[in-house]
Amino acid sequence: MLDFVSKRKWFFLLSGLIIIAGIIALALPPHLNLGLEFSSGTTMTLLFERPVAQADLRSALADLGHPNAIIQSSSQDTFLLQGLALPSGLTERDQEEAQLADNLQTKFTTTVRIVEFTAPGNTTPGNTTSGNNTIENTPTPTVNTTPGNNTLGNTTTGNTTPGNTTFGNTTATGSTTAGNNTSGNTTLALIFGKPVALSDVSSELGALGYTGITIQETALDTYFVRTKTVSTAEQAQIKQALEQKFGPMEYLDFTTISPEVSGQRVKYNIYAIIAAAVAILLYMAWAFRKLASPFRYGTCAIVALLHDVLIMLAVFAIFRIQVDSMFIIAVLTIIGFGVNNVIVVFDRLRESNVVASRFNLGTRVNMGITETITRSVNTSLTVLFTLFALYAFGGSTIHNFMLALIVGIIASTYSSLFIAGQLLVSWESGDFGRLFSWLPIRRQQSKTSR
Amino acid sequence: MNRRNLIILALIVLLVALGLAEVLVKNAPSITGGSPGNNTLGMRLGLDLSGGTRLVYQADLSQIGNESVSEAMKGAMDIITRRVDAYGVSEATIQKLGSNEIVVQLPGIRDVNAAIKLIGTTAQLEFKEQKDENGNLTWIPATGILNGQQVALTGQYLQRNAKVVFTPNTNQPEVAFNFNSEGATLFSQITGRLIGKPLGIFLDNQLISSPTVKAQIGASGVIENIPLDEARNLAILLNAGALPVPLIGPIERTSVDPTLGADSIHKSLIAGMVGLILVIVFMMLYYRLPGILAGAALIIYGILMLALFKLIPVTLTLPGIAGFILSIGMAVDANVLIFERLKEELRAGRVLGVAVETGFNRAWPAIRDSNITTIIVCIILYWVGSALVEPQMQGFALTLGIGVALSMFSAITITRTFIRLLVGTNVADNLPLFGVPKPAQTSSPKEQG
Repeated sequence: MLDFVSKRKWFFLLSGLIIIAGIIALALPPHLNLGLEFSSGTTMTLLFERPVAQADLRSALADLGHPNAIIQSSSQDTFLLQGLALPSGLTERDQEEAQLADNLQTKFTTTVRIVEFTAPGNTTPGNTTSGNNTIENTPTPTVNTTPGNNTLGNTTTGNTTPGNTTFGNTTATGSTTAGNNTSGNTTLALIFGKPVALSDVSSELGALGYTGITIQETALDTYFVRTKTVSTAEQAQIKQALEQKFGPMEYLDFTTISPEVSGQRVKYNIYAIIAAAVAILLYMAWAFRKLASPFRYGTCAIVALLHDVLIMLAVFAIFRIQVDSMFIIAVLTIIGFGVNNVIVVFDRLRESNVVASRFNLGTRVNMGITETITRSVNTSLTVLFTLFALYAFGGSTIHNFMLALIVGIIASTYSSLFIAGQLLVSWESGDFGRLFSWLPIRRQQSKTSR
Repeated sequence: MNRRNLIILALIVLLVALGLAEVLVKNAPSITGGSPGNNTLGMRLGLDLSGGTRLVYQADLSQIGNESVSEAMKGAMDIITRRVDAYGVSEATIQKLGSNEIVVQLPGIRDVNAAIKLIGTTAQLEFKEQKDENGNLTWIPATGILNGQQVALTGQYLQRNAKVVFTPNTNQPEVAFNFNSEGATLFSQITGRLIGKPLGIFLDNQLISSPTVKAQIGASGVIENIPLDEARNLAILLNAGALPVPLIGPIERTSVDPTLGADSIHKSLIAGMVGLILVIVFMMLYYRLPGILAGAALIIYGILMLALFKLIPVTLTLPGIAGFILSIGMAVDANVLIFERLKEELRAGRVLGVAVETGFNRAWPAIRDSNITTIIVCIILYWVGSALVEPQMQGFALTLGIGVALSMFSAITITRTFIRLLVGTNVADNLPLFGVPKPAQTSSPKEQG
């Protein structure tokens, strides 16, 4: 029989080392990478119609009162449409754009976003970029427009020359609100979820009845910005100020959470975890009421669960992975799953307390673990299969969530086999008393195992 | 015994048929009578899957006494509901968060800024007249005598039927409104007094129109010179009424692009399928015949879960789907526990009939206790999710909770019935089919590693 119990010090040590590494990572700045929902603040993704240097954007945002904003640069492959006849009313225009997005989505079987640049005094930027291919859609709604040029789809991007983009007309002409603009000078950016050929987009738009438009494939500068909380009014000011400097800009994404909301969320999540722990403790004390000191079983289960959560936190702290509200859901799931594992082992103790009471607790714990190890490993493997499938195919939005669950399941399988039962034995044999024997407090000597 | 099992089997088949019908028929009934979602299966989708925006507003209660707070909050929520309905957002939800916050969830909306403007406006409509103070013209509230008292004319005297009309000659948009009888009395007095003078129409202390009064008017009026979109919003605001408390915010604003949501559903479905297949293959390889039966039980479990989602109905969110897929993994656990016990009993030399019953009975306390604790955690999660108005957390707790409860049923009833049906057949004596070596090699369970 494998010996899980007498080497328990080493098992405790291994977990302790990981947790200590996590604590060190937590103590060092930037501490924990907290998601917006816990830390409050604003994230926004800015899409610029013309090239913008990161340093320029940084100084512009600093001027606007956001000197500490975190700015990440990327570029977004887009098709710029010009000369599109759209209704002037915002509602109608919105509907038509939604319809267009739907049509393109069905046709190209990928996500399609339509961003409308509505800067005041919008000058036509058609000639500001060089090296990108442009297709003039013929006025007739035929499917095969301009067959010859279509092979140029993959030109290199990023060779736009910033010097060309003069925008002298954008001085105080802010009075022309977007809603009143007569259609025709709107620039729409189409963003596809996967690479799409310019010719295909062109012919599809022709087929949908959009004629006389210019389509241009280009990579637009995109910036992800994270900063302190931005109000709706300030959001409009930022857009206005940046457009004055850099030309038309749109928010691809704007998320803001105030400190009140995030504080409330943190508070309730802590309540939830405490409530879950207390409920588990009480239920286990009841479920093991026929054994001596039933509260020990619940307490050791809670310590094992705390261990799982600390390991999860340690991994996220060490690798600086973002902790968001999904992480809390993962923690609570692992608490539920981990308690399953511990109960299955303790259930064997409950059974052997009756049928094998001649053995001492250490032997019975070892028997219980040996009998359930196949089950524990198999169950964890099946759950890990589904989690890995979700991680691989479930899309990037749930990656961190799945990672938290995967780490948690491994930790909870480990703790159910190597921590929980061993803690019971340590408690019974007075390990903790010896561990703290150097303290001046007089401790009651616990009974050693028979 | 055998007959009883056949009856249970028939009931299971019937249940699966009903479940399949519930899942596949788009407009299948739900207990709470909610409308089905707008997708092929008719599932209700949360914001993260349908796309849309979540806004949290804080009510400014500084002007309101403590006793009328809940009334003011309810009034504000009613008015926001009317505005959002009139704006044409289907399936929007408006809920209270904490004591003074309101969560507005708008699925599928594209122009968020317009919605924010519409929801956050207090929309206090006031009529004012000009007063000459030492050559300075200032706007003061236009008042009239009503029931012997001097009162100001405000939006509260409007009938809720303001609408956008176009002037016949110029085709410019304007908002036409009607007063109720009290408002008409006041308006008639005021316009009678102000002939040839301007009448200021103010929305939240901002002048939106100041026509010169040409004649005494009674019941109706128009607000002209506003762009079409603003005219539409104004009509909505006038009809919904003014908020009893000003709103601060949005203090939280999160959006999911609708197309991203559709993508997530697609990916999660693939992930779910792959996960289920992996689990079934593993179970078959490791546990042989019982593994195949458990695989069948798992598929039934999946169908019944989807049927329950539609029946209740559960609003599916991304964590909700993750919870469902995770619950598949946990459903396996009950089966694994039972099969391990079953193997122990078979190794100890018991015949299948006895081994099944002892195996199930001995596995049951662990299954019960572990699942009950998981359900307790789910209840707590659901409670926190509803306190925070977070459908994602609620969805996860609900699907995992239902999943764990149903998995107990699946393991105890469906798998057990399947295995019981094998008792007394030739299969029952073929121990390798159960992953157990020939009986000759059996020994006491204590010595098995």
